[in-house]
Amino acid sequence: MEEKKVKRMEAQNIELSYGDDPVIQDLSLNICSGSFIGLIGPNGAGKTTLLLALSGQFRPQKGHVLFNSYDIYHKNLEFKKHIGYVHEYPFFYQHMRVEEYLHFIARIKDVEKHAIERQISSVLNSVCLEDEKNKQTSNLSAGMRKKLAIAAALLGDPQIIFLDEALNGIDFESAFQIKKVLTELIAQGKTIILSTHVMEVIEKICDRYLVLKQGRIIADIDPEKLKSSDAFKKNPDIEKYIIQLLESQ
Amino acid sequence: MPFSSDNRKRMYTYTTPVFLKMNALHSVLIATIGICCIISFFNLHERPDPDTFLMVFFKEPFIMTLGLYTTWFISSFRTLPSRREEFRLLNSLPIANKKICDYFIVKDLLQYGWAPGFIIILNLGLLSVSPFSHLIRLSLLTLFIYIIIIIIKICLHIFIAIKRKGFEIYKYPIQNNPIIMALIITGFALTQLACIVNPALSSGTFFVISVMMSGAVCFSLLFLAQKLFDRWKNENLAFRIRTDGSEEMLSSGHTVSNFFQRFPDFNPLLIKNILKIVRGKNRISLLLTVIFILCAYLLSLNNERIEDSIAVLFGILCFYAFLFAYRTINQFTSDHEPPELIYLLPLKKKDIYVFHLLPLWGWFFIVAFLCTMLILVSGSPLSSAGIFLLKSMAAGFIFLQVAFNYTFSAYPDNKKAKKHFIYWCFTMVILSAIFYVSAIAVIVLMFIVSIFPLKKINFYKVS
Repeated sequence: MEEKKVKRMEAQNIELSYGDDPVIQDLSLNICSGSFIGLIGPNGAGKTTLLLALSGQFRPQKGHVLFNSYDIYHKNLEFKKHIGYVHEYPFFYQHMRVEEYLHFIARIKDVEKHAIERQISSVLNSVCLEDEKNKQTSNLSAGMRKKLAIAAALLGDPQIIFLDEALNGIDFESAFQIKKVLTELIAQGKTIILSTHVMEVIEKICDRYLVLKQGRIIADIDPEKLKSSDAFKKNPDIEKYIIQLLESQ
Repeated sequence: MPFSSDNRKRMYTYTTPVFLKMNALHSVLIATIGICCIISFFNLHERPDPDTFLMVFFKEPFIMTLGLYTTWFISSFRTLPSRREEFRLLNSLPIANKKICDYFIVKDLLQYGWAPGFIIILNLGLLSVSPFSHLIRLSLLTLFIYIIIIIIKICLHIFIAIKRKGFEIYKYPIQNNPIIMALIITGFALTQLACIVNPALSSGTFFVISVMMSGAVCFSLLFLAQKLFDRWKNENLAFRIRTDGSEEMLSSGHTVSNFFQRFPDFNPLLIKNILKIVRGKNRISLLLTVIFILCAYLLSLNNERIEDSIAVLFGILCFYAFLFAYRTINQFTSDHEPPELIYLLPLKKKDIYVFHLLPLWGWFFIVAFLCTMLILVSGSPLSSAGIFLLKSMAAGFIFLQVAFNYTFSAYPDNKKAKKHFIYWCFTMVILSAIFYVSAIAVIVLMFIVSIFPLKKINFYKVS
């Protein structure tokens, strides 16, 4: 599995700020294909901002973000065709039905016309929304809205999927189904970056944890290596370990 | 079947590459504009007699135009937080900046499109004193001027957003700056007036030149808007807007604590609702209401007898009461009064009801009182003014009470409340027109009908 991983994305010394307020400071990062990265950190650590920067939506004041060796801000439109993004509070056009919204996204992402219907059917099945496809988006519950946003992110065969608190508010059955789909995507060589506060989700499915605090990555953890380390064996609780890490910084 | 012909049509509507909603209505509109363009270029020399034209225009049409501009100005203050989320969605998709900019421009054009629409209808109402082709040319110029000023508005907002980089300043595309709106609406009004006062501007060669220049200016401004939008987006300014007004609330924190400290015996719900009026945002509402009152007063003066003026002002005040009551339904929605708070806190049903209604009554009383003072100033006897005040308060009371009854009973579903309120008003108007002799009894009966839904309310933890 290690040999198959190629460097997909690279952030080089990026800095981001809101006005005079620095959010991300001198951050560098390599992301390989087939990775499931969990982004953890306290509120205001810069998780969402980092996701926005890596997904081509929030241009860093300094530094570069490279995808397959090209700068994503120079070929921004091209890059966005190869990613999926789920916002923490997804927006939908209220006059659209579920299926229409997915058609809209598929067309924007230049999905081939003959493949649109198949892909929509597939993503709706993945998130257990096939029964709601004729429902108006304004009539969806909060959990269903999240599922629809995830379905939209899966359209167009994305190489990287960014999930910002995407699994919050989803029922356990659907969450299980979605995690299964995400795991299959990882096996196909896709990359997923998930920002969440729920340690359980990260522990179960992520193969790399990035711990963020005050705009800096304070730890880049390989859970397998961590579990085999002597220090961790004395107190084998990942959540406690990360909290101690955050407090010590 | 998911892909029946109806669904395909609808899907095409929503997924055209420019993602503008082009449907049959828009096609008819564009065809109409095309036909008007063709008609206007015939009989370019035709124009009305200036004196007759102006004499007719500077009566009711002029007053209505002023009212329209005021309404336009007021309506432009609506905050649209969903636009920020929409921008975020579009920004995460492979859509060029240029297209996103065009999209928001078209959205703005459609949002305020009712204003030039009404002006065109008003212009066409002058058919008795002007050739049809002249009115068409006037209407076309109105449309072009409208498009130009909307693009200018967007350019100015983005330009200010780029230049002034503090948190409170840049609110594009969520909120309009009042000064910019005042400037562009005034500019629009003045150019309109110039075309009306001088018919030569919308006829002959000058009209052809105006159309060509307008087209050139439109394209140049569009180009400028796209460049500014590019820069605005690349500087990540969209991500600095707070849509919940949290800075304003924090900056007025000192005032909030003073009020609660100063009046410890007052019901906290009452203080909270009074504070809504005291805060900065609602001072603009106050100013706009005063402008509305003055316009209504000026309109009523367009009658020779004082009794007619009072009747006209009363009619306008009833209309205001209706609008105000309709708007108050929004003040008790789940956005402004979240159910999790209402149901969680130990609040009495009676308190919630009374202390939301009292400030609204107070506001309407101030409006009615101001109108009464204006009537007295114009020479009305005291008794007439007194009767006017009582009738206005009664009208306001009825509309407000009914709106609030439906809102309270339907909470937190304000769509249902709005629907019931509209049905109630419609039914009341028809029945009181039919049974004109016993109109008051009808109104009282209808009012009692609106109270019945209140019986069924059960807030979870409220007595």
